[in-house]
Amino acid sequence: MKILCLSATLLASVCCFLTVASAADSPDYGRDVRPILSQFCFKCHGPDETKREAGLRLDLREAAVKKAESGERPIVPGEPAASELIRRIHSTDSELQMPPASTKLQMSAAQKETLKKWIAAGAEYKPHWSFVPPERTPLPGVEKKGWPRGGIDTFILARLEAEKLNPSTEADRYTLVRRVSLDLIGLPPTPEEADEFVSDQSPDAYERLIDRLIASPHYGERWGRRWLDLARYADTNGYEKDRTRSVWPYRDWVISAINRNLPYDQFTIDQLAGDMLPGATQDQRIATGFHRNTMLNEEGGIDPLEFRFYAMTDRVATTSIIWTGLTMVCAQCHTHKYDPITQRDYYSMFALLNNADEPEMDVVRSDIAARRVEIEKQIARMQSDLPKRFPLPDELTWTIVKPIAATSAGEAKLEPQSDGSILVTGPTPDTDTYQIQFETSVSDIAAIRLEALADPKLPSKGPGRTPHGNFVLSEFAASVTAKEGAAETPLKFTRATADFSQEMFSVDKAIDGETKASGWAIHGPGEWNVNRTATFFLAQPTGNSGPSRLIIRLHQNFGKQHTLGKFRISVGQRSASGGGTESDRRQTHLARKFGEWVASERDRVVKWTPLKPTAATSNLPLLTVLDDNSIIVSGDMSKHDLYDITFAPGTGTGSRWTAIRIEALPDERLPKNGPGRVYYEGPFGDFFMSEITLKANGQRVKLTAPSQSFANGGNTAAMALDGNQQTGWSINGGQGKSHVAVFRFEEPVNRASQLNLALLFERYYAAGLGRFRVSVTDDVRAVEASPLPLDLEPMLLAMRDSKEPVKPASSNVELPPLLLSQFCEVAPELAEARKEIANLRNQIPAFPTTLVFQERPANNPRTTHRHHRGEFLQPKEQVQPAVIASLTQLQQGEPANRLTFARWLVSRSNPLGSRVTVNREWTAFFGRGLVRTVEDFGSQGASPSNPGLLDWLAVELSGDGQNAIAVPRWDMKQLHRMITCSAVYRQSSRVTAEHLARDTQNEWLARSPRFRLEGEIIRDSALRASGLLSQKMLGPSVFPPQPAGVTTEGTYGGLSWTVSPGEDRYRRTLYTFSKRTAPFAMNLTFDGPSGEACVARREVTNTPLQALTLLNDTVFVETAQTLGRSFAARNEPAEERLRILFRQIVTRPPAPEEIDLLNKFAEHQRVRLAAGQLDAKLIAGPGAEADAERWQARALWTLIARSILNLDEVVTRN
Amino acid sequence: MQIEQLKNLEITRRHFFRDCQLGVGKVALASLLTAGATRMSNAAVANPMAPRKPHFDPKAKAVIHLFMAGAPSQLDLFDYKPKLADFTGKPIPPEVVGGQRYAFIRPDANCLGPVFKFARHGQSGAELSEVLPHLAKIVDDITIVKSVHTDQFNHAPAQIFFNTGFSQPGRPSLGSWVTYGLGAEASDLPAFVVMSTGAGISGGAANWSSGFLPTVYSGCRLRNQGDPILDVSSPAGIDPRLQRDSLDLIGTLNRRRLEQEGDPEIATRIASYEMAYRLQTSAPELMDLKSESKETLEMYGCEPDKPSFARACLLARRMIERGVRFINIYNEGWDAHSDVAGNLRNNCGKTDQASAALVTDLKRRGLLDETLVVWGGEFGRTPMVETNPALGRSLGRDHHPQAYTMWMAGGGIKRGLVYGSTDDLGFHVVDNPVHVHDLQATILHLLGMDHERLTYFHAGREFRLTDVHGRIVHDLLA
Repeated sequence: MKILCLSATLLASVCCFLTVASAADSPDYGRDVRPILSQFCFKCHGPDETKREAGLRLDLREAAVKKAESGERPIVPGEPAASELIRRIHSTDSELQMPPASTKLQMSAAQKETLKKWIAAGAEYKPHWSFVPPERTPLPGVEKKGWPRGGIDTFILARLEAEKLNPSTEADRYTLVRRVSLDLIGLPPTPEEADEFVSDQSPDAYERLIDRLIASPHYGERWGRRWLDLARYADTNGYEKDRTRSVWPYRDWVISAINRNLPYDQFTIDQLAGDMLPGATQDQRIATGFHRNTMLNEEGGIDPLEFRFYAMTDRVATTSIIWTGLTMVCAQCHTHKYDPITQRDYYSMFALLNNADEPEMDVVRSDIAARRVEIEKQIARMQSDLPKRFPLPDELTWTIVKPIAATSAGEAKLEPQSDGSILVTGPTPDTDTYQIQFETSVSDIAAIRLEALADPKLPSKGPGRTPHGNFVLSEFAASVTAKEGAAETPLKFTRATADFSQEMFSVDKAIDGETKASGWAIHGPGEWNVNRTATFFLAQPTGNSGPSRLIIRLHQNFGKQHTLGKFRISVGQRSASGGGTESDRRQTHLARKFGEWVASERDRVVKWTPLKPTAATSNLPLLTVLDDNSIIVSGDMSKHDLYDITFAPGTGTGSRWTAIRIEALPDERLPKNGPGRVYYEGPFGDFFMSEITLKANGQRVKLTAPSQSFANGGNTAAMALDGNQQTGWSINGGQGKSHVAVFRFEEPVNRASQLNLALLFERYYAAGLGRFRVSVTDDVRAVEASPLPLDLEPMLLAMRDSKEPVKPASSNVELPPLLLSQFCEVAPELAEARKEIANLRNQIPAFPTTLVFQERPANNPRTTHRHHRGEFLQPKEQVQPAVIASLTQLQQGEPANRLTFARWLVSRSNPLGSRVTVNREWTAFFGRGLVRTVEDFGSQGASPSNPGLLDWLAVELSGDGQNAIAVPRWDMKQLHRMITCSAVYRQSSRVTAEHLARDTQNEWLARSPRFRLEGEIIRDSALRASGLLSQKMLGPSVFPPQPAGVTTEGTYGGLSWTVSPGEDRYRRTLYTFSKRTAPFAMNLTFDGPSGEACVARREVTNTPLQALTLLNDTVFVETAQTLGRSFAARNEPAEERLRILFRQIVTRPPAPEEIDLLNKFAEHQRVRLAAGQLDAKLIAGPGAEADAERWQARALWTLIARSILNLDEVVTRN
Repeated sequence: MQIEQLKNLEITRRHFFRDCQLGVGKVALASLLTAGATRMSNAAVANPMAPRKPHFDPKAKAVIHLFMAGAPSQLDLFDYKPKLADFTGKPIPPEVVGGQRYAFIRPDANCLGPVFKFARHGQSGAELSEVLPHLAKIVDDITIVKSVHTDQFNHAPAQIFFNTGFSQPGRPSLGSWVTYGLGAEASDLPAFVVMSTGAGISGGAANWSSGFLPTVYSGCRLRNQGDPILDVSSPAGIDPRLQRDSLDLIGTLNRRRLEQEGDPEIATRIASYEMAYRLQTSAPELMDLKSESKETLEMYGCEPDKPSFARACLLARRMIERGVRFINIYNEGWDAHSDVAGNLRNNCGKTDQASAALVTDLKRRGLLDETLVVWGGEFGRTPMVETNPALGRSLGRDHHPQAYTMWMAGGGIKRGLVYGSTDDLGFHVVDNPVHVHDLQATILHLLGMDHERLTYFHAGREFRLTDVHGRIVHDLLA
């Protein structure tokens, strides 16, 4: 009678598993028939229309039983003899025979017989089990009513009873506490924790243990690591360069979400489409890092769009594996051969995921934000204080001194000029020292001034004599004598200033007492072949002793003709200080210098007229015109982006345009705030403008005299005008700021012309400009790019237009604040003061960044195409986003987008979602899924070993069944609680001969499984047993020790593995930096994933390399030594200590025989240590000990610990 | 087919070496077997590294793949194109280039003629560049294939493609397929060994990954610094006797556990530890070149204590003697975007002598007939010059997937053959094209395996190295 109570599903499954032999009698469509049809027929008579022959379709019953084009009925249910299909497969006529000889496929006699029997039995087609939504399964009846603790046990027991197997007894309490602790938090219990449970006699002791473990923050670490396998998380980009990326905030989100038990449906939606949720939180955006864990190829010369396509195929594959358990990847190239998934379905799903941009996001953290505000406030304060720090005037009166003799140490000729300067002519030696004598009556000389003077007679106008006009003044030396021939008194200088110094060649190097190569030089950005001045201040003014001789020596030892071409010397005398207080004098000085600066800027400023774009297009990116006439660029980009912008003709008459200006503007929507769009391979936020072309009314405008406010080295605006696409203008180093380039027109252009600008960005990586504005001017002067901030231009223009002279500002006049603050940014007098601000700015902490998805704006959706043969280079017709048609359809009226898709995946409309999920969780606890092929629930996947249980759990979890009582909707903690509380889970793992004989693979679970622990758990457990394990959670990934060379030898994108200091050396393994092309050695050895693809189940291997790691690797050596150190220092009797040590590692108490064996080993080693055969210090590791005996004790305990750490039991979940 | 059986067993007892059931484990297994656990014998047989019969009689038992990563220029080493010299400085005709994309250059770049002198050598009269003087001496022992072509033109994808038949990481490598198909001959060394002798391999570990095959078939890195095999040395202070004592203790305790728990996996663990112990001896023995004669060392140009391509080649021969199945020696640095002549001089200086010595040495020891040696890169280089002042490049060549040259020797390959040819500018193959998939099929064929039958069921279907492609190049077979 009992048997009659079994559910239909269970019966079906029992038949399926018990009676393989009898299957031939009535073939099952799904198990027996479909594979044959699939293998031999569907290729030409299946779902794929494009390949369908003779209009015949055999995968659908209604089509297969109808008359075909030939007039015959392929299948006549119940009548094999009348079925054309049967005739054809038996035919020997090459014209008729199926499958045709050309396919080289041969159906076996048994297969033919199966088809015949199936037709004879009525040719029933059945949908594949996993495509039918799970229903709440009634609990089966069982004999052993006392055994089940819940639904899980009832299903398992029913199966065991059908197999005539008994469940195992409950595992002993030490095993249980260790098992459940390893399973739930990935760490073994301490002996104290174990004892607490073992000695707890209360009936709910076990349940309380479970609750405690599930509430532990380590729970999120353990289950987070499993999710990261699926999410293919890693800390590098993969492929050749395999550069570091920052996406650990996503990893932390996973751990935290699991710890706060975020329901799995929300957990899913946040990760797939968190950015699209109304009012998406920062956390929800971080969660979208899930699909940013794809690899990024930064190899020089790749096509970024090609590798984005590959990333998309990975996203489709990963989404399918995790939420549908379908091998969608098969349909990338062609319609799926076995499952009802067309190639169009594939690209429709692709389209659902394909409409996101992929930016990097700042993760705003309150502690960092507060620190930033604090520093920024301090900077603002210091900036507003800058005027107060303006120096007092030097108040020197300068007198040019005329040389009376001038000689070169080389063969150069020093020719005094009428203006007191000296022009150097004749041969140019590589190095030289000039000696010049002056006679002067100026007394109390406080400073000497050297003017380096440009002159058309010099190469490149000088002021130096190198071909490019630079020089290096290695040392400036001066002395005085009373008269000719008298002893010289050297003058001592305390400081030097210059109006400009080349980077690395500051003027103070000219008075450092060192006459070797280094010194003052003047090469710099912009026009630098100009007059430059250096002033050298004396420690003490010369006295007042009447006329004297001054001797100046200019040492110039850099080489390569870096000598001065023209110069002049003046001496400065301190004049009587002006009246007023020091503060007044300072203010007056500032006002005067400011006035000079404003006057010069006002005179220089150019009136630029922004052009209004009327059309802005490109080969690929979207160019959007903003209200301020600037253009923002978004969407995908290529390595050859060409922007094409047309401007409205100007109005008015009169003057003509003389020059054009490109303003490259920062924008927070761009990488590193722009102005460029570079996001991989090259410097983020840079651009590379290869060529610029301008047309007026269709006629090419010849551009000339390129200049820019800033350029990265030689990548100047001129490079955008040289006709060579390989060169261009770039601003690397100036990210986050605006920069301008100016090009003059060789011939002025009528302002009524229609202007058309073409900008080409070509590089071996995509390097477009992200935001920019174009202006023109009618200024007839030789205009140039100015570094002046753009917002100051109107003010200066207004000043110029007012034609008022710049007021000689005095101390009591309020200076215009915007201009003043800019002046303070550039005034050479404030250079020192600004350094402090720059230092402070460097201390502003950056927010961590993470990679996210961001749905594209409605006006720029990305189109998806079907790709012939799955190839990137073969896009065909456009495909609209949709879910797999044969499974279900999205609700009417819902937008077919990523968010709807995410919701669908965890809805009842997806028959697979809850089944795949419970199966994966089940696998974590039992080592094997109810469906063995965790990643494949399609018709090629394994059948469920306990279908009733699978569906029961699926309905429980998704909350879709009636009277769902055990588990709140998608509550994973509750699911874990339910599983670990079951009697099945609590069984002993002892393997009996009967188990091996009847159920080798332990499919039916008459015992608890035993399997090797994951590598992470093995390492974490050892660290915990020794007390080394850090409790620190979350944060950037860390670098624990691993063998030398793992991340450098043989890897192209080498990463020097600098071991993290402090407790980061001993963090839980999931925080270890994960490099895709060279994973952490131990993880790889223990079958951990590389992060290159979604891993739904890890291999579990047992290899000698693992033995070598456990025996010899640093982390285990340190663990053993740490235990050795602490156990040698304990006071208990040796045997008691041995027991404690054993328990610390293995949890259970050792058996007497085990103690004996360990003792024997110890005794033997003790003798060898005492005899000096073994080096105790080497074995015991770092530290200090009082005497040899103590060293030996430490070494001995180290060796014992090392052996115990290597026991099978320690690396196995029992 | 044994491979089928192996697959169906769903092995959880992953072994690394052939006879893991030896030693202590064997005893334990025997006792289990006598306990009447008849199914156990299956599990024991299912050692994934047990030697297996191939599909048919093989020509080769082992493979040494000298992978010239970065892609050497075929036009300056093997494929002499005097006509190309005439085009030097002139743009390549657009009709030749077609729609090909390039990594760095534009398709209308100028041509660059051969940068070295060529001469004919041996009875075969094969033309070789002056920078391959050693190869010239053994030219009659090898087959040069001038018509190799591939699908990929970036390093990482192309290297992974050559090794796994697919351009993205995740599929099993050639060495993994071979060890999966044939098992191991070596009893105390890994079956599939990988060495790097240059600056870094673009495709990284994906090149020797076992992909979806059990991880036991992954290539094992033999390293230049530290332990040749990770952690193969005992920690400081642990002498061999102590290591033995420790293993005996661990083994005894584990055996006790096995008796109690009855799980055969424990027996495998015991065996793994024994194998690890043996490896601690066999690895240093392999690396110790003291037994090699001065003449041999000189022939390779090998300094025993200095990691180099030459030393790797000599180690490869020693591994072949010890039954290693598949050896990858990567020599990186052939990516001559600039100064192709300098690059080749340098790289040939490091590899030519040892590559030739390896073939000669195998031959004189009677090992060449059953050892297949394969030499070549992931693609070729353009007939066009790469010049780019902005990147500081001149007189280089860009990546070229349409045609390049490889050579093979031993293991059932013809001797003294020059196979396939390219057009006058060396751009396209015009005669006897050999696709990378064809090479893969041919290599498996030489090892006695049908590339269409060497499959593994994964993600809902049977996968193979050559996907749906590949054809055996019978013309190359001796």
